[in-house]
Amino acid sequence: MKISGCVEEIINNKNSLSNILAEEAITQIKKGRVNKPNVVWIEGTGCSGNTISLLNANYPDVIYLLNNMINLKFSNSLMTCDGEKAYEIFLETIKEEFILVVEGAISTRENGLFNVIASYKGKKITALEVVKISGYKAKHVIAVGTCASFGGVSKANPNPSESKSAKEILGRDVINLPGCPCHPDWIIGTLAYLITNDGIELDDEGRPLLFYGFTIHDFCPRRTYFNNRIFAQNVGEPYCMFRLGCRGPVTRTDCPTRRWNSGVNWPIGDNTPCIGCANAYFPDGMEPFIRT
Amino acid sequence: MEDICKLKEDLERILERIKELYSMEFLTLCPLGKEHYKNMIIDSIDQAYLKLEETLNILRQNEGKRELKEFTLEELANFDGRNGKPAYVAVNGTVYDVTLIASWGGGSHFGVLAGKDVTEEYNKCHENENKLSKLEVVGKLKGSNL
Ligand code: HEM
Ligand code: SF4
Repeated sequence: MKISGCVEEIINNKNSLSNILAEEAITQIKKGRVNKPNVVWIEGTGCSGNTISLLNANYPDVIYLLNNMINLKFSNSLMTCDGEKAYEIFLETIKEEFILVVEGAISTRENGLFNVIASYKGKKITALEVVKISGYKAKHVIAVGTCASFGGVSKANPNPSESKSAKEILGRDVINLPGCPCHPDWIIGTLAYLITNDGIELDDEGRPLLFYGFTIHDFCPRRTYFNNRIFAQNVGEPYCMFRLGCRGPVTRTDCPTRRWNSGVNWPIGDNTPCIGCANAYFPDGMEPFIRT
Repeated sequence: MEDICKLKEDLERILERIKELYSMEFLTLCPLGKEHYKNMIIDSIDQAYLKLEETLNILRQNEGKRELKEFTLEELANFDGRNGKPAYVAVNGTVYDVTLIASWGGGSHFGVLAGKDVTEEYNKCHENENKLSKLEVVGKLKGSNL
């Protein structure tokens, strides 16, 4: 397996991995070896949860990211410009080299009309159209969150908006950063890595091995309980929650070591089973979330 | 079954003997003595070899005859993995135990629930894959001609 190279980095650096990558990227930018990339962040059919998650970053934080690492040219939620002016910036940006970030699945019903993100010269501009005109030109496409990566909640049965993942729409290589929401460190770490390198090593589902190389079960602090068959019978008990339907064994993320909300805690640490939010089958295939 | 019990006793005796011989061989200072014990160890291993062969033969003969427990669909429904119960599923008439299979947490697997005949789902999702060989067989469905 190829992941062996990442093992040490992941285990030793835990929380600081994305920080190290970001510092390296900024050093390279300051020395003039690489340029700050232009980034276009499109929100499709989703809940903006990944944007909110990004705002919660702290190693490094989002201000640092925006000031030093990237030029965030377009973002439905974060940019100060609005209306036609904002859309014009998008059209300008995609004439040069840029990285496209897609958040949320892409609704395809009625040619995308279920998700209109701009109005330009009297015409409704759909997320589908925007992703298509920018997706093929982009240097990299990063799908942030489970919806953009695999369809996620937006594509859940019966999928009334006929949503699809970024890869299904574009059919080109997409870097998938699933998670509901995606951890800010995974986003910043991946961006930083792409600034200093040409590409990033991915697994067969398009996820960077750096952050998605292991299952939650591999590093779960309750793993000894699992091995000794000591199972919680109800949520709240401090044992392995496998018999309650824990999806840790089929979900690949580094939550046990990285943790959430600035590294404060994570689901299993707070006594609820993993619901597999970063799994390609989330949410339908991960249900029931708690089996009692 | 009696044969197996006798074989078990024989094997234990031989094992004990080999352990003894090993210590003798280790403790003796005379090179000829060492050689002698080594030969005796080899003899004992030969004996154990024959006994193991016999044991395997008996096990093989009984393999086909082992009675499979029969489950009706109602009985199977009890083994759904909830409340600490085991999780069983039936595929093509055979009942398998998935209680501790890592991707079957709480008796559920990518939207498939245990305690049922899941042949259709299995064929849909794992066509041309062999996921069943590593599962423990616990019985068969009543009425299936296994
Ligand atoms: C909705 C249909 C199904 C889907 C989408 C599905 C999907 C999967 C996936 C993705 C894996 C790999 C899990 C991993 O990451 O380790 C897997 C493994 C497996 N599946 Fe299924 N599966 C389905 C139905 C079934 C059924 C009906 C059975 C019945 C016995 C079954 C038995 C297994 C077994 C035994 C494994 C191997 C588990 C392991 O190695 O730990 N699956 N399945
Ligand atoms: S709680 Fe979940 S991830 Fe942790 S050991 Fe148990 S099954 Fe694995």
